[in-house]
Amino acid sequence: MNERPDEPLDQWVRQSLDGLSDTLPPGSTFRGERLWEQMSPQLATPAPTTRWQPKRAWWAAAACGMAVMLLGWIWQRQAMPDSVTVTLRSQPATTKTSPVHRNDRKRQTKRTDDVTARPGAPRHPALPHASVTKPATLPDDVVSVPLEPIASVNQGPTPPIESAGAQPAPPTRPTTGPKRQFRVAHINELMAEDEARPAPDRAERFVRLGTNLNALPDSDTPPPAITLSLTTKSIQ
Amino acid sequence: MSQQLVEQCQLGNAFAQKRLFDQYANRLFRVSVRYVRHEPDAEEVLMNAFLKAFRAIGDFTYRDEAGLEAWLRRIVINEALQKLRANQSLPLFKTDELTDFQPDPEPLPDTGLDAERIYALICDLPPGYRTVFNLYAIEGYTHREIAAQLRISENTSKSQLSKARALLQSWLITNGYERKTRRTS
Repeated sequence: MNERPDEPLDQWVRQSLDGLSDTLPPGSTFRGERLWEQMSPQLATPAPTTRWQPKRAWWAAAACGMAVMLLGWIWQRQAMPDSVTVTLRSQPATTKTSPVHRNDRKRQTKRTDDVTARPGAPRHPALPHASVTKPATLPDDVVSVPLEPIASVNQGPTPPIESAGAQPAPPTRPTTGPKRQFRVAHINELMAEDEARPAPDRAERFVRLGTNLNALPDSDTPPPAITLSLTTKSIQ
Repeated sequence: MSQQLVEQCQLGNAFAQKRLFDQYANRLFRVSVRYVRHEPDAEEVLMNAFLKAFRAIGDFTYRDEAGLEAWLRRIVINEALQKLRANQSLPLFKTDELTDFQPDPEPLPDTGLDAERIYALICDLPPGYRTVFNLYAIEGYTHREIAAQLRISENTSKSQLSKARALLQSWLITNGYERKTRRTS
């Protein structure tokens, strides 16, 4: 309320009303006792002995609640990565493609094992369009393609084969042993693998895409098969 | 005396509360009637105001009796304005009144009118005029504060105040107010 020049009428009215006694207006039906009787039950809660400021209590409660929520959120964030990691590790490798660096070592190891594990195994003949015999047990990371053997003699080990242009076939998984995986590799990596592999193994990289031999008429010569080279190098 | 009453009320003493109520009930009832006009509404306003006052008296710092009365009066006025809003009596500013009345430029009060009559004339003012006149002329609020309380513009508050004064002057003249110039003539 600011100080301002007072109007005469306002001042006169204020002075007149200040002179009013504490009696009630004439004709009024107001009774203080009746009103107190209505009020007293609602005054049952005693007044606080100390000057407690409820606003501060509300702010303190709100701050505590926020702190609890923040701590719970932080704890949940810390716990989440562990559970997610465990979940990822426990999942089986169902993808057809896998990182190169992981399977590259696998394949090299398997190929080495395949070559060295069977020292007495016959080698495949150096045929220009030699086909790959289907091994009795396929390696784990080989895409199983429905193949028919051309030479029934050769039952040697067959390294894992990559079919770049082969038709996708449903992968067959061995009942026992590790799971197969496909890998997507750069051509340079394949060339490096070729160089690292012994020469006789090169002929085994071809995938025979041929017709079903059972439907062919009996003939001494094997039917021509469609072969697809996986590398740009000429076959020796 | 009032300080002890306030201290006892802060401790929750029911007898002190009753005494404080009896000391200010009639005076604050008049204040309530000046705003809401009707006595049943004024009783409700007074009861709500005292309940709020007793519950909030713990935060009140007693300085003098005038300060205590001013504190109670503000609570009553706020409750009265809430009651007017609840009854949808605010804002109700009639602009079609006093179309042909020109207020006296130099009003001079006369002692012929008693305070009760002036009080009754104020209560007879229209709700909008009465509220603004009470807040400005009697309680001492500024137009800005009145505009914020009643959610109107300052210009509206000023125009309502001038119209309330003009109407009150006309009634004062009608009810026995005589200018000194008229007496001499």
